[in-house]
Amino acid sequence: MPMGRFLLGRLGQTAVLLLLLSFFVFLLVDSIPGDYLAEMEFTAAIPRPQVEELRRDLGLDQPFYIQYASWLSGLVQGDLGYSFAQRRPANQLILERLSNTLWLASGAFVMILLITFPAGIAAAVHPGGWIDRAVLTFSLVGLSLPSLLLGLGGLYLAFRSGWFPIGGMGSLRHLFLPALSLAIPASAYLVRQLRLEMMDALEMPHVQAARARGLPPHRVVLHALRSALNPMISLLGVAWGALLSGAVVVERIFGWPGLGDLVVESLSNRDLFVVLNSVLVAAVFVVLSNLAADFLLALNDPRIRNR
Amino acid sequence: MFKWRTGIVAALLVCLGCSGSNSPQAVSRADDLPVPDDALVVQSQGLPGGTLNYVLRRDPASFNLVGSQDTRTQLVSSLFTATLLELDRTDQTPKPALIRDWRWSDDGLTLDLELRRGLRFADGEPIDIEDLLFSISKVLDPSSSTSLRASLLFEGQEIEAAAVDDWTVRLSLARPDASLEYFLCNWALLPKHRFGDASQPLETYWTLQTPLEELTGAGPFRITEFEPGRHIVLARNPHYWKVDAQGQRLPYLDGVRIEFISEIDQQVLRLRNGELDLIDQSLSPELFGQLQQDPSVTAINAGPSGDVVLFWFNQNLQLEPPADSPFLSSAKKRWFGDRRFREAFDLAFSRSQVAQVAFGGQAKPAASLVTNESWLAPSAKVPEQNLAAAQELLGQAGFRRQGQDGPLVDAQGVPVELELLVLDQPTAIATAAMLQQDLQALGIQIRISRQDLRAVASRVMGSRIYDVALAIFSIPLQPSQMSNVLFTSSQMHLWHPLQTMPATEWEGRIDHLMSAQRVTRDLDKRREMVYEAQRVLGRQKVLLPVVERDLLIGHDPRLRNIKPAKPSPAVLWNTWEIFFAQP
Repeated sequence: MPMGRFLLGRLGQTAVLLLLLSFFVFLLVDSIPGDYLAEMEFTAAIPRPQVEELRRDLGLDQPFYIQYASWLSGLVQGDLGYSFAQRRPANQLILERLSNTLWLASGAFVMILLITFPAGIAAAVHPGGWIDRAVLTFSLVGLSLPSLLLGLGGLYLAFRSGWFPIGGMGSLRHLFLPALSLAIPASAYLVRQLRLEMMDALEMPHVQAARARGLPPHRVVLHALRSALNPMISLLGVAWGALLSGAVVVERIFGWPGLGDLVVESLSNRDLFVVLNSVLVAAVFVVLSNLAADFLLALNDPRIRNR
Repeated sequence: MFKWRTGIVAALLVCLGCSGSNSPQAVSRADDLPVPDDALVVQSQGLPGGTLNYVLRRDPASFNLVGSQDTRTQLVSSLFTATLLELDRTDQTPKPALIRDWRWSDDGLTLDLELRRGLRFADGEPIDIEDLLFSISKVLDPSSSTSLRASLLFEGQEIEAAAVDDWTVRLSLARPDASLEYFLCNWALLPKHRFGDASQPLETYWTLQTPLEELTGAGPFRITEFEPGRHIVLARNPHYWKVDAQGQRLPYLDGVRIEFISEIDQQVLRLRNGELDLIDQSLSPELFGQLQQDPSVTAINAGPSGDVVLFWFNQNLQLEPPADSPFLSSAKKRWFGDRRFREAFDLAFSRSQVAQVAFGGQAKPAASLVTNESWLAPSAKVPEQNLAAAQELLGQAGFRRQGQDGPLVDAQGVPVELELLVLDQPTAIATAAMLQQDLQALGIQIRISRQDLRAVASRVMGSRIYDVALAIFSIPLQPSQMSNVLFTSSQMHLWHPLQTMPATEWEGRIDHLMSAQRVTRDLDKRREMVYEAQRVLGRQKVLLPVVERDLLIGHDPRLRNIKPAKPSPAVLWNTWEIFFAQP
C-alpha cells in the first residue's frame, strides 16, 4: 500500500476515534453532579440571580447534546472553548501545560532509551551472566512497582538526601526524579522485550554468518540490533504515547504543572472544556506517536514499506 | 558609593546581632524613596530583606479583590492592593488605612471618608480623590455583580458618593448601615489611570490575562511574574505608605514568591526541606504532628480558625421527591419536621470526642454558628452527649427500639435509616464516621455518602433531595456577613435555601432580627438582636454546629511577626511587617 494512502487511512480512523472519545468524555463530565458554578452558590460568592445569569451565559443551563453540538461547531472554527476556572481560552491553558508534559515525557523517554538499550543488549549478549540476572531482576522489580510508589519513593529520597528539589518544575534537577519515576516501569518492560528480541536476532542465520566471517563482536551486535529494532520501534511508540497520557499520577506527586495535573484539577472544578480538550490532546498524541512509530518502522524495514 | 555605605551598615548589623540584642535595628534601604508625611506608622520593628516563599494549592481565579471572592484571589490581591480601611485583628474593629479618618453624621445617613495625602500607587502615580471616587463608583455600578455590591445594597439600600473637598468623599445612604465600615475593609482602592474608559463591569477587569504592568495597586508588593500553574512572584512596592516605629518604610521583605502545589503532603515536605517558608492551607492533624516533631520548623496551633463543621437536616419539606427516591420520603419529612427528633441528634453527638479523635485535638466543640467571641450569645453552651435524654426525646416523639439493641423505628414501624451527605474532606469524613457511631447507639442507621463540594452543592442548592448533610464552612465574623446563612432568602440558608417567604415563624423572626441589627447603630442593641437570633436558631436544632477546627500553621523559625488571626487571610494579613530574623 502506498505510504500516502496508508497515512490517510490512519488519519480517518483517528478522526472517528477522537469524535467518539470526545462524546464519551463530554457525557462523563456532564454526568458528574454539580457544575462549575455550584461552588459559587455554596459559598455565596455571587448572588443567586447572577449565578443563574452566568450559567446561561456559559451555556451550562443547556441540555448535554446542545452543549456538545455547540462545542463541536466551535471546534470546526478552531475555538476549543473556555476555561471557567481560569477565565481564558482553554487552548491557551492546555498549550502551556502540554509543553510542560512534553518536557517531562521527553526526559523520561531519553531515560528509557538510556536504560533499555545498553541493559537489554548487554543482557542478550551475556545470557545467564550477572548482567543478565541483574537486568531481569530490575525488570521484575520495575514492573511490580507502580509509578505512584516510585514517585513517593522519589520524594522521600529527595527529602532525605537533599540532592534533588522536592517537586516543582524548573531546572534539570527538578526533572530527574519525576522522569525517572515514569521511565522505570516502561524500561522494565522494554528491556525484557529487547533482551528477547536480541537473543533471537543473535541466532538468526545472517548474524551467525557475520560472526563466522570474523566480524568484530560490536559489528555483529549492530547487525542483530537492526533485526531486533522493528518490534522495539512499535513498542517505543506506544511507550511515548503512554508517557504523555499516563503522567497524571507522577505530575500530581511531584507538583509538575503538566496536562495530567490540569485534567485532575479541571475535573474537580467541572471545567468541562479544559477536561475535554486535554483528554483529546493527549489522545491525539498517543495516536500520532503510534503513527510515527509505523512510519519509522516502514523506514527501517523495506518489506513493510512495500507491503 | 552605595555599596560602601551598605557594607558598613551590614557590618554594623552583624555586630549588633553578635552583641545579643533581641530587638532588630532599623536599616534603610539604598533604594528607599522619600516617605510621605501622611504615612501610616506601624508599631513594629524588623530587618529588611529576604523573600518569603509561600504556597497556594492552585492559581487564583483572578487578580480582582473586589470582583472575586475565592480565598486565593483575596490573598494574592491583598498583597498588591490596599483597602480603604483595615480590620484590626485583635479586636475585630475597623482601623485607618488609605482612609486616614472617617466621620458619621448624627443620623447615620452620611459617612465622610478622608483620604491619606501624598501617597502613590506602585507605578509611581499619585493617589487622589479621583481614584477614591472611581473605586467606589465601580463597585456601586449597576452592571457590577460582585458580592460586595450585593452586600452593600441590602434590602433596597441606596448609596451615593460625592467629593466634599480635595481629599474627602461623602457616602450618602438611604438607611443607616452599621456594617458599612467592615465592608470598607474589603474595598480595594483602584488606580483610575489603569482602567481606561472602564465601561465594563468591575469583575471583568484584572483577570489572569491582564498584563502585569496593569496590575497596579497601593499594596505592599507588586506582581512581577506570573506563570500559570507554577508561581507568582511579587516584589516590594517602593511607594508603600506604611512606616515602622523607626521611620523605616515597609514592607521589610524584598518580595514574596507563591508556588502552586496541589498536594498538601508535598507542601509539608518542601517546608521541612527549606524550600518553603510558610504553610497554612488546611493542614491535617497528622501533618501538623509531623511538623511539631521537626526541629527545623515552627509549628503553631493558632486557635480557632472560624471553620466550623455543620450538620443540618433537610427542611425542604414542601418538596415531593420522585417516587423511587429513598430521600426525603414522607416518613423522613415527619421526622425532620419534629424538633424532638432533631434535638435527639444534638444530644447524641459527642463533640469533645470528635475534636479529640477526628481532629487529633486540634479543634474545639462548637456552641453556636457564631465564631466571633464578641457576637457569641452568652447563653450558647456546647451540648453534652446524653444518650439517655436523647432516647427519652425519641420516645416522646413515638420512636422505639425493635428489641434490646435493634433498629430505631417510628410510630408506623418505619426504621430510621438516613443518608448523610458529607463533603469529601478527611476531617469531615472522620467526623461523619464518629457521628455514625454515636447515632448507632440510638439504633439510627446512617449511610455516609461522600461527595466533593460541587456535588454536595448541587444536591443542597439544586435538587435539594437529600436527608441530612455535613460540611465544613468558614463562618464570617460579622453579623451582617453571617446573614448569608441566616436569611431565609439567602442561597446559603443551608437547610432550606432561597425561600420567597419565611417557611416558619421562627425563621421569619431571625430574618427580622438580622435586618434590624444591620440598621441599628447602638452596639448593645445590635448585640442583643444577634444573641436573640442565635437563641432562636439554637432552640430549633435544624443546624447543629459540631466543632470549630483550629488554624494550624508551620513556618521557618527565622520568620518574625507571624500573628495568625481570623478572618481569612489569617496569616498573611500583615505582610508589611513580616521579616526574617536572619534575612
